[in-house]
Amino acid sequence: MMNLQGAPQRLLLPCRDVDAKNQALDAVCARLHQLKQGFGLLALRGALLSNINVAENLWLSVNWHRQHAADSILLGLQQRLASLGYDEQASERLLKARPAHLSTTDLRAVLLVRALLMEPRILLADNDWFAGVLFADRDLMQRAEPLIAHCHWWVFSDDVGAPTHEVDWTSCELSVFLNELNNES
Amino acid sequence: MVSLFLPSLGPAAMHRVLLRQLYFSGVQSIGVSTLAGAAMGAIVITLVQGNFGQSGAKAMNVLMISCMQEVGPLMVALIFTARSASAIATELVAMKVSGELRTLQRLGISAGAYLIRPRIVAAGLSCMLLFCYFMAGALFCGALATPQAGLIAEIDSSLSQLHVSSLMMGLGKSALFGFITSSSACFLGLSAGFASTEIPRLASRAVLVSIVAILLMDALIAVVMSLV
Repeated sequence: MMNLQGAPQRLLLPCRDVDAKNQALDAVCARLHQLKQGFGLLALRGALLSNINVAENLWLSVNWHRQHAADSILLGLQQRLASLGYDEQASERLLKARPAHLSTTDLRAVLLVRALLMEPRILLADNDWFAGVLFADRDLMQRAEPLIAHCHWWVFSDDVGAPTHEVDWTSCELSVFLNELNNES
Repeated sequence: MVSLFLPSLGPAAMHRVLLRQLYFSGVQSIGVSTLAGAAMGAIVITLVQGNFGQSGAKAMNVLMISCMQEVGPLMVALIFTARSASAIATELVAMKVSGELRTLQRLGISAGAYLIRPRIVAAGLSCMLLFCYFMAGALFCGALATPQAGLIAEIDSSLSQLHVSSLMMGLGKSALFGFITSSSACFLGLSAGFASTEIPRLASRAVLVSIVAILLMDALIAVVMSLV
């Protein structure tokens, strides 16, 4: 089921409930860190630290794993935000904002940028990412599509049915998937 | 001094946490710490001179010894506890309840290294800084309250009596109390559950635990010092 080198997969991983989903996400993140596999995280709950602004949130993970200075990633941030439809003024406003002041569309854009900064091969998402999608969010996701099309999507869902019908999901038993991931070297 | 610590602290993101905590605890509390020192200086001098009829120099000496070794570190620790320990615990519990700590962990960022270590280091440094301001306030106000000699003469006479060991003792105790207070606040913050009612409960508990821990540690130090 798992072939990280092959064509991008769209895996749907059904979970029993929210706790099981969170634990599975924790376990998969920890394993991917062990494997030193770059990945992006698209989960809306508690996604950004509320006591620092967006720019520092975005810089934090890059600095932690790659020791990049704050100034050195600023241009990259603005370019990625531009590709998601934010002009210079809007991206400056977005980067200075506190997470609590972001609209859901802006929050999705920031999470996409954070994921892209890690140059991911895999995107981990929970089904909340696909819930309550607004027109603005659709527009954003369309702009993001070329940037993330090459990535594998692993979506953890505690909901019945597919998170969105626009994607051809491959459903996979969670325990089987976790076993395969643990055996991956 | 901070720049000496920074490289050994790890990624630059941690330095920002350290500097923010230093600013909040060490710089923004300067006023209240100096004021507490000034009040303590006036109180001790007035009490000693009023009750024991000591000379200004003697009273200043009593002030110096009591504040340097006991009152200063304790008062600074209490100020730090009231202002910063509750804030640290509240912040950490709120982060846990909202899922931010979980996100940090998923991103491979150690909460211990990013959130806890800089706060504990900053707490130690802040308490040392606040102790200096407390002592400056106490000496200045104590000298003002001493009628016999001039202000400069009283301060100069007190400083000439100052032993380096007393100063180190005061600074060391302040740093230790800062470490204890911030460690207990961080521990309680991280031990929270996921209900929002945990926030006020653990904030007040952090203050209580810190005060008890500081007093017990101070008593222990006093006993150990008397035995040495």
